[in-house]
Amino acid sequence: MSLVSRLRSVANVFTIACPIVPFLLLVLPLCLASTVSQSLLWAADAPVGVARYRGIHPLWPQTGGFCYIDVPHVHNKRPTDLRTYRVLPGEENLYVGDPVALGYDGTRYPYFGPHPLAAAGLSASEPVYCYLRGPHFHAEQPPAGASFVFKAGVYWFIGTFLPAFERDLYNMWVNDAPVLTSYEPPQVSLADAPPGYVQPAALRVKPVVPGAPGALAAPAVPAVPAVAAVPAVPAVPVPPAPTPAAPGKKNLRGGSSPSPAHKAARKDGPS
Amino acid sequence: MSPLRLRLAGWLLLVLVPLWGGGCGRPHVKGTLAVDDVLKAWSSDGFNGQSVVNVDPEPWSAGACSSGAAAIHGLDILICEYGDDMAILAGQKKISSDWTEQSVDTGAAVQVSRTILEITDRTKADPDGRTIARLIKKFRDLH
Repeated sequence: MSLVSRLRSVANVFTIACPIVPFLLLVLPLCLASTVSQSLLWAADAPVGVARYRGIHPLWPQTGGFCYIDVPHVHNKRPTDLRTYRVLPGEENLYVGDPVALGYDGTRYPYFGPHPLAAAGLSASEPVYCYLRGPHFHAEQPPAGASFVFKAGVYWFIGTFLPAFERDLYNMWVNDAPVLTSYEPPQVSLADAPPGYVQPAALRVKPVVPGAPGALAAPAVPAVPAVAAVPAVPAVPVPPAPTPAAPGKKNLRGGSSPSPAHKAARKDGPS
Repeated sequence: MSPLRLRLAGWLLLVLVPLWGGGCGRPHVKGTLAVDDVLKAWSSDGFNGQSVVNVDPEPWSAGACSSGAAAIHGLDILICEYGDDMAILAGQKKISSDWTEQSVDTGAAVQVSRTILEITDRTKADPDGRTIARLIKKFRDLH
């Protein structure tokens, strides 16, 4: 092969490569640049000031806004009303109140009285209890394997409460947390309880003194007849069982005073 | 084609192909959920993840990472693929330490297989978390 033909061969190769090389020279720096700029986004300093949450919870200042993230997450704000939260290991805040009472408009399940909670990741051997006395809602179905009966449109826990329930009785203060004025709990009373349903003894004899978290009243409040649990509000359809109830309207008017229905529902403890 | 031309073409291919494939493509850690699959799933749900681009995985001790600032509905997205559990722990630690009171309004991280998804809301783009919840649900459904 002559020198001329060899040079021609090399020139041909470069003719082919020329359109590609400038393209690479243009694109490669862009790729590298994007890598660098994206990395800088996460280069924050360490001071930790965020609050951890286990699942859904009301937003601040608890006047109807709700956070619908149902997995562990963080916010740069702490819970405003600790009566409606339980602090789990790892400083995770688990909302244990009635979500519908504070503006949640997603899938809900109706319950009556205290019961083990079903939030994801909670241990069955060391359950976290709901201490709401009367009819209420949660966003989760009863935990699998637990003893629940569905009757009169709500779930009733007919299993045994472990000693942890009595030990942590101060959590009854959740009943004193404000709810939206438009909130309507499931329309059901203790009189609708299924056979075998027994309220925890503590609910009948140890009411919580409002404003004194953790303290229990020394003489017990006189017993209230079970019929007093029926809220004096217009009846609303009870969600069908066992499918989730239809989402209700979201209230954004706010309000911090408990609705008559909720107040009435709280009175059904002693029986 | 002359032997010289063939040889030159071979050398050129040897240089260009790795540059083409490894420089700009999205790397993937074999055996775990791929970023491309996540973006495809989100796309089917109406979320455009085009601005989630390949990034240096080293800060998160990962084998491959892609991220985008305000990439989907104003939310920052980071998806990292890992080859082993120890690296995942290091990555989780890095993500946790990046969440500060000043830098985030909301942050969530979930793991499927050996792939971690981190979503950060720095600008209250998703105040009630509904978009974050949808993105996470779609991601977890890929398990």
